Amino acid sequence: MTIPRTILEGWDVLVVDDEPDSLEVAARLLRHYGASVTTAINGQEALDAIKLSRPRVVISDLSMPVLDGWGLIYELKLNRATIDLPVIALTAHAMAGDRQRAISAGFHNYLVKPLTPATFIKDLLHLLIEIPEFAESLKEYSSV
Amino acid sequence: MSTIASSNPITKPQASRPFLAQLWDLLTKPSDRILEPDRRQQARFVSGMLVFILFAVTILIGNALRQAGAPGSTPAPVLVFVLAFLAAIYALSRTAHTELASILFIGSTAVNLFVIHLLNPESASVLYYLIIGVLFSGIILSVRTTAVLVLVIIVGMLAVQRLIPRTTDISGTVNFVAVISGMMLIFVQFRNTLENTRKNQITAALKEVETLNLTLSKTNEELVAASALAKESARLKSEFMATMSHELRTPLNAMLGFSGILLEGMAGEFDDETRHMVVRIEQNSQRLLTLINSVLDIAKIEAGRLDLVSAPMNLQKMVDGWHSQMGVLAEKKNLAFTTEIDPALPAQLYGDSERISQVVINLLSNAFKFTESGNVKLALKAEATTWQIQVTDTGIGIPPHALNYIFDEFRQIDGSSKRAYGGTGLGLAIVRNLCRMMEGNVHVASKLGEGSVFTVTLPLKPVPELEAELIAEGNPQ
Repeated sequence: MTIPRTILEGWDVLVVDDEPDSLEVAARLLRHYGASVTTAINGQEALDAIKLSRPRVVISDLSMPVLDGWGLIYELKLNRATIDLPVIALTAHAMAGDRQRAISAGFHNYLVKPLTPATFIKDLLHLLIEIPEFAESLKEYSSV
Repeated sequence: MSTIASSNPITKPQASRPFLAQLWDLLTKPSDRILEPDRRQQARFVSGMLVFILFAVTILIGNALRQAGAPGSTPAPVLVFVLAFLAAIYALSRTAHTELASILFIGSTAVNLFVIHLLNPESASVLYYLIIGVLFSGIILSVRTTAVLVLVIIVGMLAVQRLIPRTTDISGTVNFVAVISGMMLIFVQFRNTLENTRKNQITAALKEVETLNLTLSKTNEELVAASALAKESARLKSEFMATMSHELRTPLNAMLGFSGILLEGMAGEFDDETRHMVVRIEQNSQRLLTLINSVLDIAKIEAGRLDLVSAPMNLQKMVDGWHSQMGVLAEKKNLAFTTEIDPALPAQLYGDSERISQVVINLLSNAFKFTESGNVKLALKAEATTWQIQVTDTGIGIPPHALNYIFDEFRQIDGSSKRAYGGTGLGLAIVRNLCRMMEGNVHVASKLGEGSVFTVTLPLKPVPELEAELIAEGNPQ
């Protein structure tokens, strides 16, 4: 099952990570499937970017300086304008209980680093398709 | 009498106590101002005795009235006076002045008895009653006082004998009173000693309990402190593990991510030699990731963070799963791979299927890795209270000296086998740790060049039939 390279065409995705390498891997993978990607290196920059142009989905690391992923999700859930913005956590933390912690904090779900081209897009689409407003536009993928 | 009365409430409810018992309680109830249980019992004794004696004297008055004027009888007015006097002492005994009442009673009784005897010197019998005073004194007053009293009584009787010429020979009475008094004194002294011993024992026991309590609370404090320390160190350990996990995965993320992007052709095409080197980067990164995951597993097991579940497992399904997962390897190396389940084993057992699978896959991977020809066999066997998973191969075998440390962390048989076969040296350590966590163990038997047998032993926890049926109904597949 190959995923069409256009599956994320027209999607504005914000990727937040303080590690430039991790940021670039995620951005390259997303762009490969047609997404238009903006980046931020911490939660504060992410909040500014979201104010400027509202992305369709945010993929954010958890441990970051200035404002971390937990602080970012807190701020987003506090604001009426961003409360429904789907945010997916992306982290190298792989301890038991982290997923539940992320979901109770308000993240839609959780992806574990390291990201590999073979699994990243599949896992991401799996998570996105659960969000009702995206289900329609990703029907193409779900029928594959 | 009082013991009968007081034992009543045990056998009968308070409301249905017999009338006489209730009357007795009423007549002998000590003053509320006496608080100590011992003294209350003494007061009850004094009042009870006085009630009895009042009753006896009343009968005596009746007799005296009937045989008024008969020779040798005590005149009724004297008895009435005695009765009134005793009644007064009885009243006193019901107040807090039990001891005063006892002294008055003992003294007056002695005086009365002597007076009665002197009024009627031919009779010696009345002096026998002097023993009542001794009895009273022995129970209520001290041994010393009682001894003085006995002395006074005997001297008094001897004086009466010597000084009153008309009196009968009362030496028998004196003997009787002396002997019984002596016995009384010995008895009272004995009882006091017993009581003191008992009190000392109780005091000592109480002291001991207090000391023990002190030690216990001290130990408790120490335990609380130790447990806080242990908790803190466990917290630091898991924090360290979480940090290490994060820090090690972050650079790997870049390595695996970029090599993956290159290999997927997302950044353009490149020649075969370059591709080959990128593949090597990718493979080594993957190997490093496996190693990190294994180390984390070991750390989690050692920190006790790996939680085991106990749920019904379907053995056939598990074996099928392992067979299909490892069958690829068997085909690749052209090895026979057979599985076998002992029919004596229940269809379902309680256990942690995920952890057991981790153990079995580890053992099977090793078996396939070290076997070039022949077969690999997986067998499940039933024992009395345990069950076994046996992985048998016809591989290179393990040299005898290595059997001792093969389950230790980071041990492989030698450097050359590490080069030839790869691996982290952690697989068997994880297997042993997991088996021990599941209250089981793992053993190995091997012959160099012929093959190895790894046997995992786990406690047998069958799923009760009814529950197994319910589970089967719930999952029709």
